[in-house]
Amino acid sequence: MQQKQSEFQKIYDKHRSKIFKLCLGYAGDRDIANDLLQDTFIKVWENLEKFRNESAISTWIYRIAVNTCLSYLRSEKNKAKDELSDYILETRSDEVSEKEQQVALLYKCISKLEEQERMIITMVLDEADYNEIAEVFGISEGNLRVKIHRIKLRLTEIYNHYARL
Amino acid sequence: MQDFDELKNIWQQEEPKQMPEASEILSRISSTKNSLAQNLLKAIVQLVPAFLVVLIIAIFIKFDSQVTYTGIVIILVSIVVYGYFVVRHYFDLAKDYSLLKPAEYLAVIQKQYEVRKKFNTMGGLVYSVILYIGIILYMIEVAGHLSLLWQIAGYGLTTLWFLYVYFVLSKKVIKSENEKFETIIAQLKKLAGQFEE
Repeated sequence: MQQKQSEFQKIYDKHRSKIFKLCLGYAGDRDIANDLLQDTFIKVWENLEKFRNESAISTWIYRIAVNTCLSYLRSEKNKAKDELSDYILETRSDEVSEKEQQVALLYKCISKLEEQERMIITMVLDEADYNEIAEVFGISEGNLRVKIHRIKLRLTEIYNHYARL
Repeated sequence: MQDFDELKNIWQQEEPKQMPEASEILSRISSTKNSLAQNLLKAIVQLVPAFLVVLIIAIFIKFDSQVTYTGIVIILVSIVVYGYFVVRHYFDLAKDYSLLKPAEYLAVIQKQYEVRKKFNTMGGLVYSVILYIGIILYMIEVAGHLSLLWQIAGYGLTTLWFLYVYFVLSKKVIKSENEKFETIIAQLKKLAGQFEE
């Protein structure tokens, strides 16, 4: 048990930032992202014995995180929001740095994408290998490349649109 | 104008703050399991007293008619079958499918919601009808000893209860729950569409 806990601690410390950013990119809300992060690592803990080193542990954790995000369903989530959220507006005060404003705006732009696109692009932004992303999502690498090309264009376009406002 | 590489730089500069520690997650593991067990216990506790009361009546009271025993058996079987489905749903929801491919995972949880919707629509209604039949059969002998007024009151109240379940509960509660399930199923279908090759 002690050994499992220490192994879990190492895995958690190494992967939590990337998984949190994936969850935040998906949900667009820090509290929900924290819940999704916790749910993901609870499942990691419960399935740790099933991990067989057939793939990288990051791929395995990403798969769990993606499914955890997909199971989070909100009745309001499909409502389109054309304006910047309060959160973004708040970050435009003098108290926060330009960098924080850019990060907040980037998350806001990611939230404009389709659910699958949000998760793919957060992995791309974190420089995950394409074959790892394809494995996580269970799609072919060829299909993934087409999707990534389209998502990059769309995200850049949305970002530049809001940055001009 | 920013290009994608600049967006990547912005992204990678961010180091998330206020994330939970590993110890918090480990402490949540036991509470999650407990809440599932509590829900399961609650569902069983609601059914067990009714089952026991009917069983005690069947054992300790001697009836003359086989129709009465048939009514009691119908009531007991309906409680057991209903309880079985409730417990099975809890276990099904507790299963962990998080290692499946996302498309397969979405198909599994979509099926779960469809089963719950079907159970919600038909299960409760079938349970009420069968229970109603069982109670009426049981009442034939029991109410036979009562005055006409009490017989009318007994059959009347039982029928009113059934009509309340059918027309009020099924039309309001079940409808609103089904709307929730339909919204979720629609979202799951939309998500599943994003994973089609």
